[in-house]
Amino acid sequence: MKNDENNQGTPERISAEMEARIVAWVSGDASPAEAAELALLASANPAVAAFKARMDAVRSLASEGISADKTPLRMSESRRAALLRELGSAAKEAATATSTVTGPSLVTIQRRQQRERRWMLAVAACVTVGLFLSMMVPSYQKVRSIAMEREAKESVPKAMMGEFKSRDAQKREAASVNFEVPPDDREVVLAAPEAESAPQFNGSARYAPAPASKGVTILPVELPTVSGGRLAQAKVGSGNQIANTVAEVTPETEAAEFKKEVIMPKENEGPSVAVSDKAEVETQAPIVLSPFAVRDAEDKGSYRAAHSPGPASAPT
Amino acid sequence: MEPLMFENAPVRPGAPSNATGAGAESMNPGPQSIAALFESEESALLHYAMGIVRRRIVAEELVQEAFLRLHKVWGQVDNPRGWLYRSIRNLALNHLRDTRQETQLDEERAATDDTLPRELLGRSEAIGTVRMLLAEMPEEDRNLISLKYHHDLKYQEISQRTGLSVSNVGFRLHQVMKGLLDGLQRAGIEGSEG
Repeated sequence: MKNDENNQGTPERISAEMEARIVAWVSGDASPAEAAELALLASANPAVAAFKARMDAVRSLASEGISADKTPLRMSESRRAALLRELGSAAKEAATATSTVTGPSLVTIQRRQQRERRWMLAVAACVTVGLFLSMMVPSYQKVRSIAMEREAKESVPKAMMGEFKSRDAQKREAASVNFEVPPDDREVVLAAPEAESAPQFNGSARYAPAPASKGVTILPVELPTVSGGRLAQAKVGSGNQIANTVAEVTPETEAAEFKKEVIMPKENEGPSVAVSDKAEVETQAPIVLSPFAVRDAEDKGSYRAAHSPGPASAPT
Repeated sequence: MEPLMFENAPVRPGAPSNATGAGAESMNPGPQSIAALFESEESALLHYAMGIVRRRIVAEELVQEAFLRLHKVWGQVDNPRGWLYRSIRNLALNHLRDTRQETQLDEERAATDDTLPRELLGRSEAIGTVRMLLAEMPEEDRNLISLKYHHDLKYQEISQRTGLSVSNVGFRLHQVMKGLLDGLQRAGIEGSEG
């Protein structure tokens, strides 16, 4: 491995078989004929010569390296003694520790700690995700419900706002007036449910007691017009029947009774409207349409009977 | 015949001991083994360190530091001898890097102080590198090198001792020698003087 060998440029690569033959030649295991042939090749081929020189150097170094030093070196006595003392004392400590401690090995402890650390990380991650979800889901539902309500409101045209009923209005409508039309009696009394949620108009609302239900479904009352302080009529329809009602208001007693006269339509005639004489008489006192007062924004313009028409106490 | 390197393979804690006498020392072979390793490798490691740093006092410090470091990781090192050579090489190169200017200024004086010629120091580095490579190679290959270049046996004799065929001995030896050559080149050692 002389440096001047490298000056010949990059030597050509030689085959592995040739390399093995050169190693045997360098190691003294080649026959004389083989050695002569290889010497001839080396003189002709610089690559062979370079490889032979390198193997000579490696053989020399390996021979020295595998043997002990011819001139042994030693540390200074003070340093050597200190190092041996350090190693020896540590050796004694290690020996004592080994003889007294019979616990798990260091590797086992480290693995156990790593396992515990991984578990703790997993648990912490789960807790964090759970907290995050518990915080996010309710707020998401709230936002979603608000958005849905807003969307529902916006989707209803303004012209239809009068038809829109809130849940409270629907409930009130469901609990609205039940009219009973006795099949035999042709008199229909406007009745209201038991006034547990009956509105109190100046503490004077009273309702006529509802007769026993006979299974007749009464459609809601529609009040066409009020003219001249007189409740003109109300139509009540049930099946083929059309009931016309007239509310009579007596201001002195403030006891309102709605009496209805049911007039069956004659054949080939449309439904007729009859107005009782009493209603025409009571024209002097002001009539207040308190039972049909609009109390919800949703009911604006619908004029449905929220409750049975009670006595008209006049709110001022 | 000269004594052979690598005759006393260090025994690490936990490794099965070949010692037949079951005394207290063989019960805990680890701590004793590092001291034995120090006894057997002290000279070679000092030569190797001196071949790199060219100063004996520094070489002693490096060898001491390497043994102290090895002692801390003794139970975790599979090949303590190879670990020592590699560690001393790294420590020496770090020392040269950290004290480059000082080394350049005192280069002439250092050579005279240590009374070792440069050629010998370079060869010491090369031999130390070969020892490092030998320490890191398999036991069978190291045994082959020993039989061939320490005991000067012929291929036929090696075949009889190892059970390998003659051609296999030649092939293995060629592979080992080429591995040493590659290792020396990787370590930056070119030429006969290292």
